Amino acid sequence: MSEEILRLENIKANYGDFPAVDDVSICIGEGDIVSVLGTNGSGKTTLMNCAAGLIRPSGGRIFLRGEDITEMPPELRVNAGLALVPQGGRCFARMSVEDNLLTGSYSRRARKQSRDSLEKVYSLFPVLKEKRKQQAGTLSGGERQMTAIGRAMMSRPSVMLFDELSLGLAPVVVKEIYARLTELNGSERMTIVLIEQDTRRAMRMSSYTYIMLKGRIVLEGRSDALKDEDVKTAYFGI
Amino acid sequence: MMPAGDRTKKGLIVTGVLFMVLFVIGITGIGGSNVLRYGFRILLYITIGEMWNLLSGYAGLTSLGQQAFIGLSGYALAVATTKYGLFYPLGIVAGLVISLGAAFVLSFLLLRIEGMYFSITTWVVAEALGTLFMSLMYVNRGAGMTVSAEPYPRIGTLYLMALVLCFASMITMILLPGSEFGLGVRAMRDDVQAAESLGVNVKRSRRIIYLVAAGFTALAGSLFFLNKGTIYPESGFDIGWTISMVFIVIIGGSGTVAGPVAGAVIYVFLSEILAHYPGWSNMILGAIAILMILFCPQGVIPAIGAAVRNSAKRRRKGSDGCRELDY
Repeated sequence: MSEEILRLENIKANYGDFPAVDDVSICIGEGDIVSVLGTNGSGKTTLMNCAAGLIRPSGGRIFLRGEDITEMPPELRVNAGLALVPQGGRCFARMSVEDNLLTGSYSRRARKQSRDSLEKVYSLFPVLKEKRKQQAGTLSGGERQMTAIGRAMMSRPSVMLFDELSLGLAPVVVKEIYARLTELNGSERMTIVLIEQDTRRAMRMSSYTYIMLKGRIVLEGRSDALKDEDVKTAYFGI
Repeated sequence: MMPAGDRTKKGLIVTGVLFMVLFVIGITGIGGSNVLRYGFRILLYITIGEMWNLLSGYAGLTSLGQQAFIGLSGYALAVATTKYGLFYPLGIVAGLVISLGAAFVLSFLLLRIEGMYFSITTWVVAEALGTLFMSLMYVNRGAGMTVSAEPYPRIGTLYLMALVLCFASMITMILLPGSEFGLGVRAMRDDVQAAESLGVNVKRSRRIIYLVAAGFTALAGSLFFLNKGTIYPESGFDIGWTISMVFIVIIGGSGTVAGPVAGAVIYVFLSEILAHYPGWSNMILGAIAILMILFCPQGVIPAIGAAVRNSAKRRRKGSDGCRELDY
């Protein structure tokens, strides 16, 4: 296994009294693609928001390249190389595609390279270049997701967290986006964490898989070694 | 800056030329004191309109309590000049300092609150200040105070002060959106959490915007009451101030710099005409605002822009410009 880059250790997070994430540990190696799977309400998004610093976990620690970042505010995590592509893309609807992308290089470290990063995004997603003056709110779902991915790339991250990448998108678009991610992983050695409900596709692409249920990890292992039966049982909790 | 660079430059040039013209009018007094009097009011309303636009249109902070800073600065001016006999510019500075201080303290309470609750709370705070001043002996309770300046500034002087203030606020608004900081602010308006995940320090950005708006609004308030000469709790802390800001921004077009300029001109002339029909004036202003929201929701300036673009493209839909931009 490659060198560890991101580690979540015994993470706990509550919404009021309800434990959304309960003692979860995951470890991600540099340049790996890892998937975290689970049904709605299994705590995947909460876990990613903890990693990105949008939610403060009530217990546990988070390490990026061995450095404890548990108390680090989100803007500094972006600076440190962590980027989240939130669920549904969450583009800035009233801003142009290009302005959306430029917000991605808001962090100090990335600002200097924003021109260069922009070219990189445009070469990965040429359609965004065509529509760069268009308001993001008028894009199709797939284009919006691409904008969100491009925006995350603009911060020059070393780890990208994708929350429900394929949700609500046409299969052909999902396929296209996944192909681009593979490219990104190959050419830049980008570490990728996929939060998904599309179990099959995510497992096919990733080297390691975690399956969450009711806030806990119920199954983990190398994606090609996990048995279909076990995955189904773990996923649905039956 | 990048793509917005050309527009920023153009905006600054137009603003600069406009400033020179208005400055010459102020210095020479061409057109007499009536022009200056109208100009003074329009310039102040542009300022507070731009600042409300900054809060709501750019930063998503829809405040209904900006009158708090108008009242505070008006009273600061009255207290400084009448009670302590200070030269009026010191009173204006006092108003600015007190308003910024109040805004800074309030920001810890207000900026924790999101959306509609933020709006309501800002209003409640302004009302509370009004009630406080109503019962404070130090400021003569409800009897109000006078502003005493020796010598009292002439309308030409007031006009020039308002002109400088107004253009400072406009230049702020022109430079902001294209800057990195402004990019973060607009992102925050559209989606707070997504902006945060990209490294925008939402708390800090909101505080800066809130303080800038409070400062400019306070200065406008000082000038307004310097001209008026008297202040009462119900005139200083009147929700009517915010209503006029909202009207100006809706009519002119939110999220644009030229919008509040057009809005303020329309507002000042309309309220002048409607002053002949007391009782009806607010109803008519309200009806106009509703009609605008229904048929031209993005405001006069963007609609004109769209119509011009349409006719340039020789499409025959020029008259339907309003709907073109509807998203």
